[in-house]
Amino acid sequence: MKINQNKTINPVVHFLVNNAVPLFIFLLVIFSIPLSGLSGTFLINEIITRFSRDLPLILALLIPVMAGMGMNFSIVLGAMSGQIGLIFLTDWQIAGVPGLLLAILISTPIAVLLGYFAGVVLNLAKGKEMVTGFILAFFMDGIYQIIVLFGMGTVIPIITSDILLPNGYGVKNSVNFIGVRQVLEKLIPLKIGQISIPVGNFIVIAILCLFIIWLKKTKFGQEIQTVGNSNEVARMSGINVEKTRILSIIISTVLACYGQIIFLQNIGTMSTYNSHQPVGVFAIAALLVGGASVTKATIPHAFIGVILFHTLFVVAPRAGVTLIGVPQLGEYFRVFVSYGVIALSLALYAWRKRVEKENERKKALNLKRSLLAEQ
Amino acid sequence: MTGGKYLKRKIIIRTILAITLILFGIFLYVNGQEHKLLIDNKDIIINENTYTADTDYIIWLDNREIGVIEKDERIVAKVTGVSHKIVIEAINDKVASGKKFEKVFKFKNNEVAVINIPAIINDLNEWINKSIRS
Repeated sequence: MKINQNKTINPVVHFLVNNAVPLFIFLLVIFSIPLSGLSGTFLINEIITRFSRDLPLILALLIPVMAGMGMNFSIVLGAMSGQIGLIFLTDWQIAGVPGLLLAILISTPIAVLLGYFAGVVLNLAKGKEMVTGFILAFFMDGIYQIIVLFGMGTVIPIITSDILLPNGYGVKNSVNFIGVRQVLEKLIPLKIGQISIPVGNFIVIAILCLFIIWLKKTKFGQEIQTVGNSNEVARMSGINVEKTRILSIIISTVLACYGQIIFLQNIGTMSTYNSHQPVGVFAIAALLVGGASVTKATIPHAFIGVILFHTLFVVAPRAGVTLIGVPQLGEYFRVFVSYGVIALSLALYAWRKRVEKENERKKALNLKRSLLAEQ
Repeated sequence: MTGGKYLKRKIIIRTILAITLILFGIFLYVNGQEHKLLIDNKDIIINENTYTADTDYIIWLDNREIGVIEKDERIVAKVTGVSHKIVIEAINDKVASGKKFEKVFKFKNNEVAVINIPAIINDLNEWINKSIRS
């Protein structure tokens, strides 16, 4: 059975198999909404807020998928860069839009550097990019912790003692971004009825989407897609495969850095040593929920994914309370869904690959038989 | 265009871009920095002369109304950027007197300031006391 090309397969079954993950989550959402008892206005406001603050991080994943590198778990490196930018910003007490821009300006070179490093490492682990990216994120987390916990206030000067631990070095567990809190959301305030529309965030999202669309149409974008289809073909076409892959990861890391800045300015506070850790898993889970796979991810996948995933995030805890009276169930459910969706998508991908290989083998065998019969 | 010239042009463009970004960063740093401002409506002793706080005032900072500061009260405000203007108006018997006092001041990097209203009213040089934040 070949999922994408077998003409004999029932189209309904074909659709169900290809969209198993989004359909499953959609059904869960439909089932959970009435159980949660949340009002429509609250739900819409929550979804709009989460959509506007989480989507940039998910969009950061698209370019590496195009380059055939699968889901980039190393976007956590970008998130760390964004956080470092925000720590400096808080220390220097830069507020408002200049503050956000300065955070971007500080963290971009760090993200480029880390993206380059990640790209080089992932090139050494071709075919195993996802697990390498996952472990790379843990490795860099250690370095981040050393820098923030021991470097800041000692080697790296910190002026504001408020953000330092009592011993005089190392950043506190939690940092508040009072100066830049919800700057984007307040940039162009718009309220329709009881629903707040963060126009500033939507403009940024539109710019990011246009950038990705534009990038795909450029020569470099075409090269990324060629590399994604086949490294050998790309190499024969004269494309520097390794360089293209590194650049894809750099772009992804930089976008993730901006995504984390947008995310944290919305929240207004940061858990210094933890905020970046779940970024990769949650963004990847959301993208996969939208129907993306490790070989194909588009902007609509990101849009659908963030809406479904975060709607489930909002309604699941309340639905858990209604069903069995245990609010913690919702929290466990979130984690279960995040990791479960990734596992399911990877299993489906592996299964499809195996089926495709089996089909190709059978096709070749049939051809050989028919040739032998003709003789 | 030869390879050498192309490389030279590339380096020049990148250097200009880097310098522009650094300058933009400095601009953002200077113009986006928040400064803490403590405004006192308290008695102040200067050169053994005591200037007393005798009434309440309405305060505007950069044309934004901060509110009313009562006698013997201290309020905290934050301003962003380098140049600022403070305007105060006395309140007599819960009515604004119409008599306004205006002062313009500038901040350097990481500076905070304490402003004393009786000193402003008496046009003293010590109306503002700046220090570096810690």
